Amino acid sequence: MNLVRLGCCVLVAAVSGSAQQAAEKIEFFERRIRPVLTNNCYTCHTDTKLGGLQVNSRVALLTGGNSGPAITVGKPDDSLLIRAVMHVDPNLKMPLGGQKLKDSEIADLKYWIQTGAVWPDGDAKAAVAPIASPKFSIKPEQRKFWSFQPIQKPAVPAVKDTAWAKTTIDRFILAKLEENNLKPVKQADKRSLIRRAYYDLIGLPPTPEQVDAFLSDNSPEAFAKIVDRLLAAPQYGERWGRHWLDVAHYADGSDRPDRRPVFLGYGQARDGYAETWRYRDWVAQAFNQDMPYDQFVKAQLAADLMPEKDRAKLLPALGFLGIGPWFTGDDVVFVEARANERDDKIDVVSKGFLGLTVTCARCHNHKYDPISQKDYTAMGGIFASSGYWEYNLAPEQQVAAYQNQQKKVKAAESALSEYADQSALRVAETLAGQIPQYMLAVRKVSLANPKAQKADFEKVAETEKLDSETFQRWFKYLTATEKLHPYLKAWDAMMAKGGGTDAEAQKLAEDFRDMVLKVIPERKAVIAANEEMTRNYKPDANEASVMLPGDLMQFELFQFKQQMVQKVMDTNHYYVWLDVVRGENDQSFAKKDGIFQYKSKDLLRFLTAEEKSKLDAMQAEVSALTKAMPPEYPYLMALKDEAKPVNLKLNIRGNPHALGEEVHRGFPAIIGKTDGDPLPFDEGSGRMQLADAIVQSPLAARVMVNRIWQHHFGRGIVNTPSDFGMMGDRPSHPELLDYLASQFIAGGWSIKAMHREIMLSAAYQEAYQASEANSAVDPENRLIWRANFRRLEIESIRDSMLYVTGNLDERLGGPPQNLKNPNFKKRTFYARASRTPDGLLTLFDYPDPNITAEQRSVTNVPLQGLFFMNSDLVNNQANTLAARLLQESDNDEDRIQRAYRIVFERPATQAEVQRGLQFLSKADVLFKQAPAEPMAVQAPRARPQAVNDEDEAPLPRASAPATKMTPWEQYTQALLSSGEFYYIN
Amino acid sequence: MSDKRLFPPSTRRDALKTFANGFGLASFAALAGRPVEAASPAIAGNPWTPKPPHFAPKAKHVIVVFLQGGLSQVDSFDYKPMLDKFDGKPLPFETPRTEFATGNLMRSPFTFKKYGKNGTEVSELFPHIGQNIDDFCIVRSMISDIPNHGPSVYMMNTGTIRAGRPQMGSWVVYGLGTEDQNLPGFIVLTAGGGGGDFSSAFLPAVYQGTLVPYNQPDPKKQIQYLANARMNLTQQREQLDLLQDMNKSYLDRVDGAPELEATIQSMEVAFRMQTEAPDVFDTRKESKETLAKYGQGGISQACLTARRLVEKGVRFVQIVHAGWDHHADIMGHKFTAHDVDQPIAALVQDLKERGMLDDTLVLVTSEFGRTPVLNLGGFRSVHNGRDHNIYGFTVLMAGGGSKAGGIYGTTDDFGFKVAENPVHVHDLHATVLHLLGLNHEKLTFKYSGRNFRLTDVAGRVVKDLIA
Repeated sequence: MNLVRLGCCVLVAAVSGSAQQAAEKIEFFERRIRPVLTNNCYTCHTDTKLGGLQVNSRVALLTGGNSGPAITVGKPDDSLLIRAVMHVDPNLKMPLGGQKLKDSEIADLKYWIQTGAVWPDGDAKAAVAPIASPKFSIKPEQRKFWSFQPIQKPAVPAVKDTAWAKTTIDRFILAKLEENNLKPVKQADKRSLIRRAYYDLIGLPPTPEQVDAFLSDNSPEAFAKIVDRLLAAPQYGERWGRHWLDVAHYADGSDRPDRRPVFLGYGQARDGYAETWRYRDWVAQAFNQDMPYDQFVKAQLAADLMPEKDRAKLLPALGFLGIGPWFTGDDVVFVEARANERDDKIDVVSKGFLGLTVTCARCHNHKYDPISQKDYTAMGGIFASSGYWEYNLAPEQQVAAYQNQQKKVKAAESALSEYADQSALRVAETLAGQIPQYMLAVRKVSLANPKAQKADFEKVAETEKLDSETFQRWFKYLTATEKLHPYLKAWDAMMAKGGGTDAEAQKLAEDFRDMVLKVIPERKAVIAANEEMTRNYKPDANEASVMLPGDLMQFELFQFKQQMVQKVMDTNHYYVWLDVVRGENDQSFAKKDGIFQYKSKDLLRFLTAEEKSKLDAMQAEVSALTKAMPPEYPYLMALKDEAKPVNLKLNIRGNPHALGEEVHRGFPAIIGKTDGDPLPFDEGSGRMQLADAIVQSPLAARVMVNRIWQHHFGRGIVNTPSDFGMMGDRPSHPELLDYLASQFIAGGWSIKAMHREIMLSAAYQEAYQASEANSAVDPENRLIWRANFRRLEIESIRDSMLYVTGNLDERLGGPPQNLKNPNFKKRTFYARASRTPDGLLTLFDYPDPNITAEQRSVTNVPLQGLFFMNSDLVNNQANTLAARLLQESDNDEDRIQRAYRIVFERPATQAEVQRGLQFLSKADVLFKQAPAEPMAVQAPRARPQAVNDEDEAPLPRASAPATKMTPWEQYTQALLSSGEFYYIN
Repeated sequence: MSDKRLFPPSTRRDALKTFANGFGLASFAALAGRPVEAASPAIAGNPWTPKPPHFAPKAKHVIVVFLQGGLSQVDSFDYKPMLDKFDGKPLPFETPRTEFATGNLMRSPFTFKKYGKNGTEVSELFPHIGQNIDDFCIVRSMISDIPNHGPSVYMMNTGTIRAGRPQMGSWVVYGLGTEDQNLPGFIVLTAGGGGGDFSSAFLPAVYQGTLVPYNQPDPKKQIQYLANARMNLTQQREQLDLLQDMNKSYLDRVDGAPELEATIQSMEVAFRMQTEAPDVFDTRKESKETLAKYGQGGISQACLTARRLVEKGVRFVQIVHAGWDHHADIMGHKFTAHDVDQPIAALVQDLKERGMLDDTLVLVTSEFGRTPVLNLGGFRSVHNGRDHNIYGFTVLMAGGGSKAGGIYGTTDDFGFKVAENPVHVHDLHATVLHLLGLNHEKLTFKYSGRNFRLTDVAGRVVKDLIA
């Protein structure tokens, strides 16, 4: 630093030659330069160091960033800073995304560099100071950003090729194509088209009969009829519901039996939620009923606050936020956890409905979009005022009956376990009295026969009148080398020296007995004292409210575990307890039972008849009560306004412990159309106002029509469907997007009407076809001169396989089931969506349910090939299909034809039939050569522990032991594994 | 930055091409010193193809041994004689926030011995590592953010405190691809222990960790769908020929489709993987001497497998060993240390003997360390354990260009807080990427409006850890 100062001074002196001039330069800097840098550059170029550059000190500017020094003193025209602000290089225009600096400001900067770039304090620290008082204001040019503009129905452009354009959409598409001298390729053939429509709308292929009917329907409305029929099919909701669930980052709980939120952990995918699926089914139904999208949005945010008449129908929608994540459990730091829960909600709401990345403003104002940290905090206040709530879907009586019975069961269970526990302790105490006998017997045996076996023990136990099992345990224990406590050292030394005298042994054994008899009551006293302490623990009200939002408080009071200090016994005494009386299941200790530890059946032989019958009676009571448990009542996982809504304080640099000014809960200024501060909400939490504000913003309709478009064309008009901000994609067809958005609103927010309009366009019905001329201009098909080649999502791959083989269980709705369960044959939509998803799903790019997903990636890896080649799923479907073909015909040629019709919805060519026959005969030879007994292979099971062992409860086995695949099974497997089956063109 | 906005990946395929460069188009262009050219419509490259690093790397492979639960630094590699002196006395400064209520200072119950050229003290828990201590670089000044497992496990493995960010292994394979196309580039060896999920989060799913159970003796059962119980390879080859004919005929009919061409390719790789993968996982093929060196039980099987995988060209292997969370009784470290000491030492020695240590970085990490003060809170049966400590903990590095025999950073006299040269987890990540030839600020992925990095908005390369 001194060096820098020195350098600075030398330079100043050299340039100016006088102290007064130097002072003038400093004043010039402070008045004309520093404000320009502060206002335009500091957001990105101080601590954040974008492009490696900091501009908050002279030395930083001289050092520069990734592209080299930012300034060359005395040479403004060579300085990168000047080139950047003058927009000399198209790739380096600063301020990024902002308005170009005024000419006068640029002139000042040039002059400053020319005259020595004087900076009064050489270190960066002082220069950072001005950032402390940012007044957030939205610049006019930011307000002008395209996505914030009101939706305006644009004029429909004129086109040259009027014959091609069937619909308004087509005129927008064609106008762009013509502008770029591109010609759309031909229309898709009918077979490709019907397949495309089926997959797009219901995620399943047409049957051969449905294809035939379409092919022979020459009416002009043939395709429109197909579209209408598909839109009316209940499978439509399963298909499009899933698209929305990607955005909503929907996840089920695990299938552990305890139904309530037990442990979500810190996002560690552990939860015990049982009723998540009611939201999933609601989403599918909403799509099927063509619920107006504005209502769809509002319901998911504020169904509980909507008019009474709709409420019951809409309440399940609250699962959107009610399912969580809620971070509970030991692993949680309360303040951070609450902040992260809110962040998740802000994220999914702002990206999902608005295409805005509001969470970028968690730690500081958004770097690119006009969203302030206050906006973020204001939205956070809404969710801080909305706690978790369960709405019961059963009469109060039923709920009460269930809860009462559950209480009774729990009470009986705990009485039983307490009695069993006490009995076990009594047994241990009795056995402890006999310790000398056991120890002396061990001495005798080990001296005589150190390699004693089970039979030897039994013999000795009988003669010495000892319990044989207990005796063996003593033998093992006393002859083991590792003992943590010091009390058997003398005994071990005696044994090492050849066993000592009988008297010596007797004495040491009695000493140890006395020790154990002292340890047992000591431990009992400690347990009793701790139970008392826990019983009397009362968290104060404040503490409780910090802990868990809303109704989640009913489940756990974990904080006291962390701060409460239990009574403990002497450590060495406890080791004796662990070794002799009872082991403890804790990572700190060896995993083993105590010598006297007997459980359930093993314990019985030590009990009196009276004790046994009491235990039996208690057991019977538990069974009877459990049997009488009424079925669990249904409920919804949702939100409810807290009694007292709160406002949050700014988290300085995103740190929830470093609090700044309070921000009234509300909505980002840029869409709330306020001056710069968030639009305040006052009605309760503000959720209803939030929902209203969202659907009134132009973003709501634009974002949703873009999502619909995205799933029809494989890419959105805006290719960053959840980011309509500065860093997002710009629309390829802005006018079309606004046309669609205005149609959407005018059509009463009908999603189905949008599908219809899109699918009846010539643009949608284009073929997938090459065109070198077009590729040269638009290789990525941004302008839609052809259809895209698309792989099916994993849901459609699995569902189609089950469907074409006739195995699909088409029942709708209901609780999730494990995808690995071979008896689970419903659509993949209903498979358990854990926060750590099934391996098959992730293998095919299923999105991470911990974050909202705007689109799925499509990757291509060998492990996917292995799925087609070796998985039980594909093998089993191939078998079913083969069986069906063999039954339907006894001629191989006919079977091949039939197979092609079923799997590819088309007849096989002659060459394909020949190739098939050739394969079958060759495979037949190999089949006969293959050994009769196939290899035994089972799927591997490796999962992180955090994922809940219970989730992988033993599953029914797939079938009888695997048999060799017949040639026909091999053939059908190849069909199901071929690209034509799982790509659409 | 600005270029990125001008050239957004316009299709998923295009995006894949962007990934293939291993970093954003803009930084690639900057690196290559030429403007970004319009993407050609050719094949969407294999995302596993090896990619050039940003600069010459020292390490090409990484093996992480993750000790989940929290390794106690003061009972292992950060000897504190003052703890003996102040045993049972209160900490002379304010106790920082940990998970549970804590008490007075507690000496280490384990004895320390000097090892290696520098006489580095290592506790009796790690005699094998002790004997090889000159091959390791000890970082004694690690810090993290939250004293709870969940967040800190995520921090150590993904660079952020919550779920939903890619694992370090995912980032590395995204950045560099992997050398063997018949095996996944990021393999996680676990006995069913934790470590969070190994998803690639917003990175394409090809970069997720492939979980393999290391205690499964039959190599054919270790990777999902690896073998077919109902057909032999000759039959399957015949079937694959048929399938490929179908694919090619479809390809002809649609006039070419890069996606389908890639599928045809990867089916062939899948077929080869069936023989190659079981081979590499079959440690029974090792010599008796080698097997003896790694010992039995614990993570010996995993360490040996890791070496075999790296030998094959797998980019990133992570071994997860859980059970270190000894709040009640630090003596529990005896069991866990026994599981890992010999195998880790053997791994490093083995790599060295085979000339592989130079370009293989071995990292031994834990989400945090443990307090020098007693753990009191929680339902504990005894008070002989230690709580979580994010203020100063130890990780080990070996090979891959790290400084052998180095010791970096110090904690205070009691081993609670860093006294000198703090290394945040972000810094460790930046350094690991640097050793791999990757600039942590340039290894970015655009997701939802912003460029994400393994190191978030922080991280600095710790030059002193580099040989």
